[in-house]
Amino acid sequence: MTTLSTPEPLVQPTPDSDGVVRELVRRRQRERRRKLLWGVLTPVAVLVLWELASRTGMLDHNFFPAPSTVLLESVRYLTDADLRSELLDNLRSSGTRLGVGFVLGALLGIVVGLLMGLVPVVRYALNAIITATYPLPKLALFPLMIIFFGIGNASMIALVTLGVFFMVCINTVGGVTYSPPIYRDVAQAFQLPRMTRLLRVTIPAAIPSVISGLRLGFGQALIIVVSTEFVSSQNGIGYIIWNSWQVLNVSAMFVGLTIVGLAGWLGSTAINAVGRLVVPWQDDD
Amino acid sequence: MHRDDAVPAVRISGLHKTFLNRRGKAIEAIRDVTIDVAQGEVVAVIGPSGCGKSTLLRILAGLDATYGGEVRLDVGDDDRGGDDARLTAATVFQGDSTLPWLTVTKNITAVGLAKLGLSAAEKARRAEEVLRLVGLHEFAHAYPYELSGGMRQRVAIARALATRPHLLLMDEPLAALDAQTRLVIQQELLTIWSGTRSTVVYITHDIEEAVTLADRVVVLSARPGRVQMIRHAPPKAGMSVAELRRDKAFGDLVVELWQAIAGSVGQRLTPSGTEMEVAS
Repeated sequence: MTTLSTPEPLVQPTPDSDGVVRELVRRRQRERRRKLLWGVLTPVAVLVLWELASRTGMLDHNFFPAPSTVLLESVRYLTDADLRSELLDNLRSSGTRLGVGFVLGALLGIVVGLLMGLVPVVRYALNAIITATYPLPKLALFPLMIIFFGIGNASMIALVTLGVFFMVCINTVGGVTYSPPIYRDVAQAFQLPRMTRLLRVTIPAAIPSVISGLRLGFGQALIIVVSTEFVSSQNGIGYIIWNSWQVLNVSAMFVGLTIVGLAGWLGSTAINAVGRLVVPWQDDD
Repeated sequence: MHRDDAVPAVRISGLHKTFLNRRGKAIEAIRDVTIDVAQGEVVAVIGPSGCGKSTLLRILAGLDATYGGEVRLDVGDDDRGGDDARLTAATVFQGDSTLPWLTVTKNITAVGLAKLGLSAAEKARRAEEVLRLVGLHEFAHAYPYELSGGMRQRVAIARALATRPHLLLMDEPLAALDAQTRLVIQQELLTIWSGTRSTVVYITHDIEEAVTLADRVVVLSARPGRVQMIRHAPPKAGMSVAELRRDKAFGDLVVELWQAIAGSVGQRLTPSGTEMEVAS
């Protein structure tokens, strides 16, 4: 016999006699704390500076009300029954446009993106059209949408759908065509049936890229909802912002801005969380 | 299987392969290569990098269908249906070829065994068997990103073995592993093959590995790859990897092959031969 044997599994419970593991855990925790601390402290510091500047008159408080004023105004929107129902109505209008437009655009983008990625002829045919229309500012297409869908929700949702579609579609195509060629080789070498190949190899390989498409698409959706509400709506968060500005109710305007900021943060955090869940093999931090 | 042993399992005759590079220039990778591989024979193909070793393997694996000459696999059908089903050919690739979104077991059952119409029970049985063989049965439900590079390569080997291929194709499967793991897996492969009598085409740049594992060693010359030399390895009935390496005949053959390759590189790897390596 020989001295060679089956190798020991490389991952084993490790005894921690010299405290190395404890040290590693400690370092990781410290890094997490640092990340959280700086992530929270920086915005807080900005708010404090702003508060001071506004109160001392360095900033004109008519245009830059102190954060505490904006907070009080927000509380008023939540406590006052009339204001609250008005705010909720506006949130519902914007949320519907955002949600419906995002879902439609994402579905459309994934389907068309997969087709373009999988069928070269479709890719060649649509590539020029998409690369030419994608960089157009979406708001510039709003008049066209109004011609197609009339003034109102439909045209606004259509524009959101369009904006999300481009982001998701382009990223999906990239995910399919630029995924590592070894995956295709494996599928081919083991003669995977067409459906198995699609579901087990091609689509999973594209998912990381689709997720970044969704993240970018969500940002687009938010921008388009707010800007279309600026120009042609009687409700929605964008309308609150624009209308408050028109009547010089600046703290209400800041309430609107805060809501949009929060929505963007929530949306992208949620999409990141979904990404970590479905793409656990890529740990980006 | 009733098959005439005189019929080679793999017959490569007059194989030519040319690539187009990005600038549209034709680059000859393989010129007039003829190799027969007998049923149950292990043939190692060695040669300097860029000699078309990997290209040859990709052609055998069905990943590249545009070539000149003839490649015939006469190893048996995919015989789908029963639980004895075998794949015509299975490939172990050079780099990490596990799919990161599937567990170790799923890499075997859902990818490796997808073509064969096996029952779920048989798939599970085969997965367990091959994972035990490569020493990874405790990691059946781990994901590849939780494993080391060497373990992932063993998953890829297990995946190929699970299909019980008539022809096993290996493209420098141990190149990325550390020296010790390499020896251990070489030993495992020898043990497995002596049991299964597989027909194997094994690409490597490691001369000792070639002589250790193969019944016959084919040396390809620098690009364009041509058969420069074919040698039988010393018989290794029952010998371990460690014993083989102490063997006189083993050492002599290694030196002879080394000199052949060194000569070929000296002649051919001139500064004009600095085109991008196409597939190796």
